[in-house]
Amino acid sequence: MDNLEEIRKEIDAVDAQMAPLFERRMELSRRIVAYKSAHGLAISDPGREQEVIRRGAQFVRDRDIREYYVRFQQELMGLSRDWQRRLSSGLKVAYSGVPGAFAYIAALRLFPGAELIPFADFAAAYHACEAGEADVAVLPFENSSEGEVSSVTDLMFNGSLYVNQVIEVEAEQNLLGLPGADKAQIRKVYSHPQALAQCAEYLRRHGMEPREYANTALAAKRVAEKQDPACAAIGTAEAAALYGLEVLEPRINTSRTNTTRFAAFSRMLRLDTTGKRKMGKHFILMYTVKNEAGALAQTLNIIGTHNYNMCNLHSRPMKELLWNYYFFVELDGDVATDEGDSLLRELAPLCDRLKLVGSFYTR
Amino acid sequence: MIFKRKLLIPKEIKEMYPISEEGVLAKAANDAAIRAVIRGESDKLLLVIGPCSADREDAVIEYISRLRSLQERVADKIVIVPRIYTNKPRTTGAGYKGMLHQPNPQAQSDMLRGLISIRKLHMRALNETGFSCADEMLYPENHRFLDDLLSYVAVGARSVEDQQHRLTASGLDIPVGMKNPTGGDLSVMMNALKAAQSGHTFIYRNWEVESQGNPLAHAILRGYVDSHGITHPNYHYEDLSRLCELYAGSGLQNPAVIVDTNHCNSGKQYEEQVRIAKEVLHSTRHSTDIHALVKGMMIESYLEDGCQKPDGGVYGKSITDPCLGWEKTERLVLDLAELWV
Repeated sequence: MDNLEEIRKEIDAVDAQMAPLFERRMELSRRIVAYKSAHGLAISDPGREQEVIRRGAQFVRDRDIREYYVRFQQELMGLSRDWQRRLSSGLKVAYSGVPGAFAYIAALRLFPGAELIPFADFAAAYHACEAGEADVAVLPFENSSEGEVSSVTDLMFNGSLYVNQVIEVEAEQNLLGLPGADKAQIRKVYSHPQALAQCAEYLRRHGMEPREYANTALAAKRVAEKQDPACAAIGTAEAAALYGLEVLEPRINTSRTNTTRFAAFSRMLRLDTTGKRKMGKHFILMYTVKNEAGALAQTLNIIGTHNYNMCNLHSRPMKELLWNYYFFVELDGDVATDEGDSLLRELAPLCDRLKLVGSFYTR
Repeated sequence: MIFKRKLLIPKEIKEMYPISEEGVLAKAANDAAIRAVIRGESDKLLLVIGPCSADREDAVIEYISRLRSLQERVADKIVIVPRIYTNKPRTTGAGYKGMLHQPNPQAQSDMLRGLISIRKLHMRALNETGFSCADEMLYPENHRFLDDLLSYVAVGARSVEDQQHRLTASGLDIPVGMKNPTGGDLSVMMNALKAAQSGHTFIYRNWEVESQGNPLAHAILRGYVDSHGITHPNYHYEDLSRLCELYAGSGLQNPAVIVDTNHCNSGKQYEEQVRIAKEVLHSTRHSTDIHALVKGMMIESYLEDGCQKPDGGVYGKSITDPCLGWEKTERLVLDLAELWV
């Protein structure tokens, strides 16, 4: 029979070995945060976490213990995330709109714990990041039913920032009213015209009158200020929480497929050549071609030659040059490869201007 | 004919993969060394050596890197010009037509990718090994895609009677080896040399161009097939002697022959290339005329012996005609350096 004291001594010795390792791991997290802030990357990275767990589990031989080790690692990564959040609480994230709007939600999901700074418009948020007043700017660039957000596309092309991360936010519209208000009493509903259109059927069915407003968050604010139980707003649950309203009825939008893609812009481009995950990787190129027959076709031929699938191609006018256009191309695949290098190299002489805007995972 | 898409012009592909300053210097030095051999100013032996077809970049680059260290060992006797053959003439038009057509031998033709791939490959060879290489001029118009990278060009047995090939050869400033036709008629080859060494005005890439004549155009003997379909060699003493006579009355500049040791000279028995090369050197020792005429050999060689089907998958093994593997190649080159006096 082992001596209890002896065993405990051994456990103490193991703990004494583990503590400095834990400390070292947390120090490494600090460096991760510095890198992620510089490149506008989110703290949470589920793909990477799965990889860590899968790899870690292989080191444990005993199958029963392995189960506990997986839980230990999950806990460990949770602590690491908390620590990173605390470290990055100084991270400044610019967005356009007011608290509670979709841009705010996107920024919050990407950078929880960071300082979110609202700006009046897209350009102001973008330029604040360019100038170093913010570390990241989170802006919408594509909507599933409306298409591109043209002013952000223009900023992408003319500005100096890069995109290393993209998030999709589904527009979930809720009926927001004063706390304790009765749904049946609601007569006027304030919101952005798009949100009103998405919920038109619900409003008609309940005899509610739509009233247009500049944006969903401001509409919520107005309802809160009016203090009239017959008035409601359409907006996000986040907006309700912010302005002291209550969700009277969740998800009243009839079209369920309205999703907006937000990009996290930062001052550095991140090309990850070591990442093992290739699935779901996309990148964005923007360029101008010579104004001559077949010039655009040549660039598309080069893209096809390298077997990249084009998900999206559209043109935008270059305002300073009448009737001249630049092109936005989103491609499916990894650009941080030899194939990607060749692609950029071969496109360069065919384009007057060529910009690799960014490379990111979708979803 | 369906006009699928307009391709890039040489200038555009050169901008994608421009030659480096070091590359320009290396090619100039290689050109000078090769030119000196053809002109008889240098008594070194020229070896145009490499795979039958350059099927994949990695294996070809490895092969040429090995040639680089071999070249250093035999530098006092031999000038090596690696073969990077990116377009292959096919007897019936069927089968693998080279990297130009099929950058991926297992996939469909992709001429745009092909044009880019062949420049990339030749440029890598120059940048990484200092060799400006040899290619076949199968499509004369395509020469401009590679003209700043090549040090030697061959006109094949099936092309040598074609006027555009002859006129284009007359406008180049590097040695152009013109092969005897598949039927073996040497007068066809001599006429091709006459045409290539004279100046012409003609149409090239939609331009009216003028050439000065290329005094470095010379003969390549590759054996032939007679009207009964039987192959015959033409590397023997008697054949070389006959070529000396033809040259003597021709008024051509820089009389020179490169002996192709494979094709109909070996009957594609690739291992015979070793014996044939040595036999040619033996012939040069019995006649000063032949010694002066023979400038070198064209040898088909790769990393592995023999050949395989295009989908064979063996790294460094020919997917067209059978080649001499590396061990035998190295032995042969060292032997030739010893035997050449």
